[in-house]
Amino acid sequence: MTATVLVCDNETILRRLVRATLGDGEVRILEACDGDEALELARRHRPDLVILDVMMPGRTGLEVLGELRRDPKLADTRVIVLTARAQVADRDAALGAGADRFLAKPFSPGELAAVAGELLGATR
Amino acid sequence: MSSIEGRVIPLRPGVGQLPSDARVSQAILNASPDAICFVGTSGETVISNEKFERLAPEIFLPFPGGTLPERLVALAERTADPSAFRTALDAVLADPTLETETEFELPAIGRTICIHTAPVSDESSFHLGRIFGFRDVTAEREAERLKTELVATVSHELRTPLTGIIGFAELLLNTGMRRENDRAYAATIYEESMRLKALVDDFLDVQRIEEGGFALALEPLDCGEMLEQQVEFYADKTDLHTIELIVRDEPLIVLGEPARVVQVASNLLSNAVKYSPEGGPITVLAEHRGGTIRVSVADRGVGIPAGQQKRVFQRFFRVDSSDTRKIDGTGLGLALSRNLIEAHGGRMGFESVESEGSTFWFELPSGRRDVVRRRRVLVIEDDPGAAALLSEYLTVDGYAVETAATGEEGLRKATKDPPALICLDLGLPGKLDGWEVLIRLKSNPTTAYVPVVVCTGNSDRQRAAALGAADFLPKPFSDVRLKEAIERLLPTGRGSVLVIDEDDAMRALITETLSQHGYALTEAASVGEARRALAENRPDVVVVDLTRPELDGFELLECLQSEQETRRRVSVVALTDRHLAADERRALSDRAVSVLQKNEYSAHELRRLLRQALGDAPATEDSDQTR
Repeated sequence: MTATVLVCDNETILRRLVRATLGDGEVRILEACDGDEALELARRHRPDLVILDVMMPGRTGLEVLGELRRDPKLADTRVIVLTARAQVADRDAALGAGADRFLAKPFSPGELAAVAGELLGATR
Repeated sequence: MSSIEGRVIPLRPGVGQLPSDARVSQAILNASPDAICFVGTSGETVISNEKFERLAPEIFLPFPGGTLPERLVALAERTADPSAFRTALDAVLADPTLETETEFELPAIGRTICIHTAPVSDESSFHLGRIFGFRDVTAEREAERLKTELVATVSHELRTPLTGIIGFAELLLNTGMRRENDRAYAATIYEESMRLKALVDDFLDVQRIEEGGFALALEPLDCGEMLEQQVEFYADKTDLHTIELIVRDEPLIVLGEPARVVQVASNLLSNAVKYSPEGGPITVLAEHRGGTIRVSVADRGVGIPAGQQKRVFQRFFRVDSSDTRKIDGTGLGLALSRNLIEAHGGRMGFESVESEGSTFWFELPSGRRDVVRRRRVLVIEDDPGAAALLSEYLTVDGYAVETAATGEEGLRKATKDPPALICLDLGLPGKLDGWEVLIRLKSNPTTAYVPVVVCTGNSDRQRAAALGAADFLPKPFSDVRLKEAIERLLPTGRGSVLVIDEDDAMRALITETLSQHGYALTEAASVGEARRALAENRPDVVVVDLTRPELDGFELLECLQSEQETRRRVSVVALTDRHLAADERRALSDRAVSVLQKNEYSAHELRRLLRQALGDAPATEDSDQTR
């Protein structure tokens, strides 16, 4: 079964990078430009993995993460949080809000692929 | 040891050098930047300064009869963190020897106050009480907060393109076999690098302009032409939009640095396209408005929600609505554009309705008057033969001549667009004779500075001079006599320059720079000399050094440009070593003053500014390579 990955970032370039890294027919990629769109797509498609940017206009990534964790149907979804703020406090905030992994921008596509592969392997 | 209760005691003077006077103590306290209150051992106020008396009613609630410690206890409730404040205060009240500092926020009045307190003892270590110094640190904390926020935003904005660059480069290196993607990846890396570069450039520009150290190379620029090119460029890039350009007046000459004016126009057009993703009409309108040229760009796009409008020009601000989240941008374009326009002495603003569209506009000072001022002569003369003769003499000398056959017509033309010089015949027919025309020209601020040469058979020279005529030409006049008068009033050639500088070395440097370039030079080392030179030589341009502390530069400018005997505005090139604020630049540019920052002084730049002040067409580089 093809895994579904939802990537939520307001920056087009980041969504393209995630698609180029994970795409290639092995996983299905869904893209969302903001938190509201991400929640809507998550509820509709029940992705295996959600990759969330923290700093977005409107709802932040951490708020979206909170919503996911509160929704019984989505609470178990694996989540990677991406952030441009690489402070320890940001990492703690992301992990505290229930993120499975945390990657700081700029991140290595190889690292993202490895982390995503690990999380996707664990769900199956 | 005297008791300190209930009365003001003087603070003891040090080793008897100061008069032991309560008024001296009070004066010293009043001179402190802090609000100070000294309380005795039972908490009563012994002495306080004026700043404290002003601050107290602002931060404390009305609390009749309370001592300062009691009022501080009550203040805890109003601070952002009452328990922390109470802990700090308890420590102070419990330990008379404690010296400490505590800072607290008062959210109700939006202020942050820092209190420093220390015990006060006399020379025999007898405890007299405690001094409290209050300092309002709201502005400092706000500046620090903005700085932190800026660093976080810049770091985020820089990391985004950097992530794209590093990420795609790594993909390119690791997946060399998938050739079909390589080109696309390299293209993405290139695009993101350019975006990073633009971001860094914009950010540094904004920083530089806000710090004031930003020099613009102003020259006359035709806005109509510039907009035509920009509109063409953007029209080619979009199929969804129709871009219409309306140029109401021609020519629309502004004084600006061409690349910078283009940058602003391009920013507005690119925003209009970006923020109307559904397409639709975009209208670019350029017109004269007062002494300025106004350019507006209107779209029918997503518009700006009313609640976000006041932040539109903030750095990194981006309109946030469901319509705009898919639109990329740095949030620096408008901040930079407005800063650039203001650095030119112009204004920028907008009107916007959410879901209906936005109109962004800017106004720049018109450069037109400066360009044509020296070249046009208005001849007010009813006799067609005399008018034709004068026109011929003047045309041969290179002036554009306009004629008026009656006083009314002459006044109308002179007021509408003041010429460089007016030749006025006194014997005009009709209700308005030449005398009346002269009086009206000189009493109207628009035309008062235009020199008037009175041409007449009437020999009432004194009366003409008293009414403000600059010269008197008895009929029949010769072309030599006319030329003499005009050359004195409107010197030709490369122009005459008065150099005002109290510093001999600097004055010599400037005159040396200009001496071999055909300028008629006069020097002045004092305000008095400057005034005499202005009256006698009627220079076209004054180069004045504003860095001399003996001269109040702005006062001198005022004097230069309102001087009755000069009868016209003099262009000024001012040397300064100060970074000028935007409003100072605007004030100067309104008065035809161009500024040369001393740290950017070069012979080339000085001559360029001079040519500009003289209204010469912007000279090409090679015309200045003669030295």
